[in-house]
Amino acid sequence: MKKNYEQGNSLWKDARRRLCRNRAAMASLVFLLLMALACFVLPLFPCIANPNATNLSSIAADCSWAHPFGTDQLGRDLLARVLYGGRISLLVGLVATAVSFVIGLSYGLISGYVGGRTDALMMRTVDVLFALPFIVLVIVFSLSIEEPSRELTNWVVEHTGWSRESVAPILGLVPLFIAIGALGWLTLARIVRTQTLEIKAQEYVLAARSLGLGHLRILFCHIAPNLLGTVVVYTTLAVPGIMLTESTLSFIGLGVRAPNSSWGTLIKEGADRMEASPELLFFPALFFCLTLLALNFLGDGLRDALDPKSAKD
Amino acid sequence: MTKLLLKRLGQGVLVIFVLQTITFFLVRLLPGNPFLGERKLPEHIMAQLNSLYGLDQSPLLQYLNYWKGILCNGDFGPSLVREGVQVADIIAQAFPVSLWLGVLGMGIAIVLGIPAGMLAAYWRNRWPDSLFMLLAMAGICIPAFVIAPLFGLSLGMHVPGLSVAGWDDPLCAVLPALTLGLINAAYIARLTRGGMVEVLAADFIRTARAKGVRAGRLLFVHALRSGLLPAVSYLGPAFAALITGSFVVETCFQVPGMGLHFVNATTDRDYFLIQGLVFCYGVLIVIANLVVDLVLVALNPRLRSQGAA
Amino acid sequence: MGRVKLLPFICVSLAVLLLAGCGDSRSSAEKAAEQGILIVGNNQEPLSLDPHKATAVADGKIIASLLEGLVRPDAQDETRIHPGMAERWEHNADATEWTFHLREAQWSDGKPVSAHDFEYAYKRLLHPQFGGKYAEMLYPLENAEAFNRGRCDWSAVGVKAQDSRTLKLRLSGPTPHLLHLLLHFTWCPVPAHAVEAHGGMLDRRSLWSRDGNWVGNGAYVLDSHHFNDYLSVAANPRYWRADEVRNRGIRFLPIVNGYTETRMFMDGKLHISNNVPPELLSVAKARRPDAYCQDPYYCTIFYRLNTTRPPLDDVRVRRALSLAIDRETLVNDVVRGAGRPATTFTPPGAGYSVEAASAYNRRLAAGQARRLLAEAGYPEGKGFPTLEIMTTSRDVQRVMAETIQAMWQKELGIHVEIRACEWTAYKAAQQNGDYDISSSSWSGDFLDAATFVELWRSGGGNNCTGWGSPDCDAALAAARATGAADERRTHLRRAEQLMLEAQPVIPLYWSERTYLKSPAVSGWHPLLLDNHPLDAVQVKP
Repeated sequence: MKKNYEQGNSLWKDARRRLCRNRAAMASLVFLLLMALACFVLPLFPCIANPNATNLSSIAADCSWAHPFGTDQLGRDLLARVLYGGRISLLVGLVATAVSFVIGLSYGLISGYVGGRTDALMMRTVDVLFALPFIVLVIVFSLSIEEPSRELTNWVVEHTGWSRESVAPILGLVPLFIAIGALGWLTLARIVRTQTLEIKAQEYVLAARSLGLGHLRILFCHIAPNLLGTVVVYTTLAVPGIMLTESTLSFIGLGVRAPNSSWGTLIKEGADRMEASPELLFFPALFFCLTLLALNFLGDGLRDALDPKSAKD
Repeated sequence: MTKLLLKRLGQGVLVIFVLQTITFFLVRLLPGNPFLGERKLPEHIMAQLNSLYGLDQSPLLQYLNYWKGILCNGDFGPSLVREGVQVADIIAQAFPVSLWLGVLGMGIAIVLGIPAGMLAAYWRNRWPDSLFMLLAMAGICIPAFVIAPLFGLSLGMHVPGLSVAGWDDPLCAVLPALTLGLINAAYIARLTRGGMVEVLAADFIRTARAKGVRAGRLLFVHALRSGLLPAVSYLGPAFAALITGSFVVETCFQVPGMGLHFVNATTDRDYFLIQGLVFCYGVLIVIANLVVDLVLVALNPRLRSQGAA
Repeated sequence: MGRVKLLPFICVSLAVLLLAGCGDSRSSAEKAAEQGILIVGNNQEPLSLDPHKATAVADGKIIASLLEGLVRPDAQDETRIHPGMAERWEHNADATEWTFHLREAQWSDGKPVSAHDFEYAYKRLLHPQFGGKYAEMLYPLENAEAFNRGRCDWSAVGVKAQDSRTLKLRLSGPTPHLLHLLLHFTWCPVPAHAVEAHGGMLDRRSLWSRDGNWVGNGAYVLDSHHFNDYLSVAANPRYWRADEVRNRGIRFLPIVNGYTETRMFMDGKLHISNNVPPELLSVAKARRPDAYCQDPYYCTIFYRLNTTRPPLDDVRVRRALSLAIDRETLVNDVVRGAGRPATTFTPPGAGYSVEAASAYNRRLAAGQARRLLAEAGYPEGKGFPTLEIMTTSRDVQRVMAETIQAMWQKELGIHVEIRACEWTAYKAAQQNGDYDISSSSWSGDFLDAATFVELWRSGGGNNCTGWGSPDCDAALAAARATGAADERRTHLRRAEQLMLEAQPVIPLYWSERTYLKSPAVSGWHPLLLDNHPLDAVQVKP
């Protein structure tokens, strides 16, 4: 330990070391990687059925060797649907969360740090956006994006030679990423701002300022690391909401289109059928919850690891 | 303080104004119009209806008339879908329901969430922590449209006095409030834990602990103030959202609240009703955020010095 | 700590609440039954109770208990029609002039119901400055359309109150089925004095139909109305058959969500539910076999095809698409038996049926479909453009579209996309012809095939497919021109056959209503139009 101390570790290196020592976080990380692997790679093997192949002679069948999770209301293999659905949900969770994370963090930081009129203006803008009816925005947005996104799909199909059926579900998500990402950051921005205000007043920031450090450097090197913990915790909390918003939007035509599924739409369909065939709800919900649980443990681990105060331990 | 309050109220009025303006033009960009029936209306009747409600005027003129109605008569206009009903009537019936449910739900959320978060932080990485956080994650991951029918089917069907859904009995509020409460409790618990962990690691707490301050005093007096910051920032908007109703919970439990109107008014293109509901929501958001900022200042004297709220 | 102190408090208060609840263990439905109150699920919040502003099915059901027209329906047999406000009536040989003699009856405020109230009502709905959405329902009246479009005076319209008890209707053509039309709520009278007292005839914002102001002549009067909560009506003591009304009031619950409604029924919250969604059918049948009902319904579920867009402008493509659908499977597996495979557009009933056109097979005819598609230039589906099936966000419609998508993929080798739309966007797209294939349904307004076949007039407002044929129009015109019921049916049948051959739509199935009805309810019988006179329904405690 002494040696390390003498070398002087960077914050990030320290964080990585602490994270690696956190067993729950590492187990979660492994689980998440396995889940991603299962969703993105496993369906490439022929043992997984086509998720959209209907078989009306075995509707809502029980679990069997051919269908480990049983089949859904149209006789489609539930395991395959859950895995393919995972692709969409993980993508949405990752991309839309990343978008709102970046926007929310920088917006909150700037607003809290600059303060004064700018802060007031920025926060009142958040208030306005917060109170705007989300569905109205989304419908208007999805209408205006319809034509460009169709052109984008055509362009990709022409230039890559991939089949429309394989490209469309993924490209169709782009407007969704924009819609969710663009509005998902509001609460995060408020939280970051509050924390920034508090940290800004602390002695070490004053010290940094009196040393003549640039504002950006203070913001991103001194303030941001100190609030990363809260931000990470909140962001992991926001992921389930974002994944479920995706399913709500798919019912009004934005995002994943039937017959493709996501965990959110599978859970919604399962919830409607919970009395008749509970396994349609159970399996997608299980995958969803386990993934988010793992994500959350990882978030906690990250929080602990990023906490500059624990460096003293 | 008074000056701050006045300033914020002024900003609030501005927020509402901008909000109403954006909403006004946004809803008119939606496809279709409020008179679109399941069966196609003859052109001349559609034109007649549009002119009766002034929707054939230029948007700018409509916009000015809208403000004229509000400022001169305090009139939010008629519902365009439920003709003969005023927007204000609809809100007056639905708001108390949502308010009551929201207050109950938030009460449950705070009562369960904050202590759970504090205890989890205090016993960080030990079993109470894992237990509470596991429960909280369940509350966050399981969507309302699953929890609500599950509650209905398990508790509503079998516990005497509780009902699956409906609004004909005071006890009908129990399950919807519980659903709303548990979901929010989960968020609050997670955020409180996060904030508390941060604070408990701070120097002043270490000092206090080293001095032998009792655990209870340490938690409630020393740590709680700044430990609650993240949860309080979350609470403001969440509370405003809660008392303006939740569509999922209201449809699952058949509660006549604002959430149903919000969604129905949008899908029906009931322009004035959307406008009125957004107005309500906006006012609540402004007030909630103002209160939150004041509470934050009260909790954290450091913020006060900056006049930052 | 905090938790330890609060927990007992919560437990105690919950226990107190529960004990309070235990005091009365009877369900709401049982309590209501003791008071003679019927609780009915009514699908959605009514738009209006004013018969001139109402359009929704849910509105019609409430209005039917609040207002009575010239005639009233039978509780068991829809072909039978009883005298209502009219005691008796006569018409001329070709059924173009009808005279109704009104009985002595009162509005709920004691004023007499007069023929002038009828004339006032029809004038109000048709008035060019009122903007009545369902004014078209009165277009069978002579010059009604011209007046509605502002092209003539009221005096030219075929409605005349000769005295306070005699109403004369002159129709633009022979209308032997007029009595069936008169059952629709648009033909009900309104209390002229009450409408005048609340802003006058042309005031669309009039409050006369709100609770507190309501005046009616039906079996019930409006009691109270809470949006999205309930609407209750109480027996009207001034109703002319007040002693025959078999319950003391009705509560209509606007429950949109079929799952919630079914669960509420199971929990004893209502006597008659509106709809059991397909996913819950097996559960409902298993748990409440005594309450489960499945009745035929005058409603067709079908796909509209946009015949202005290639390749759907080719009748061979349209027919191929239809032939590649296995309707038996749709009915059995998607809606779980709640319907019958549609072999024609108009559901059988009211003495009307069309022999199945060749394109409509209950089972699929894949070989024929493939052959037609190849003839149209798309062998094995090659080169077929990607079409979109437009649906609303309803689960049943989505599952249906997924099934048909898979059938077309398998049998024809063509890929179609599914576009879910939010409700008004869907209506707008359909009415503007902005779709390829639209998942649609149509339910009859009155018990006559015309309510279905008239849809397919070229340029008709509800056609929306861009299709039209002079032959079909001629057959429809011939049907309108004749007074003989049999001849009329022949013309309608011919029009329908022409339409079916050209196939601007793909009929899928005739839906059936699935709902739950408490065994305590009597006097409720299966009705094709689902217009149940609720005064005949009794609920035993």
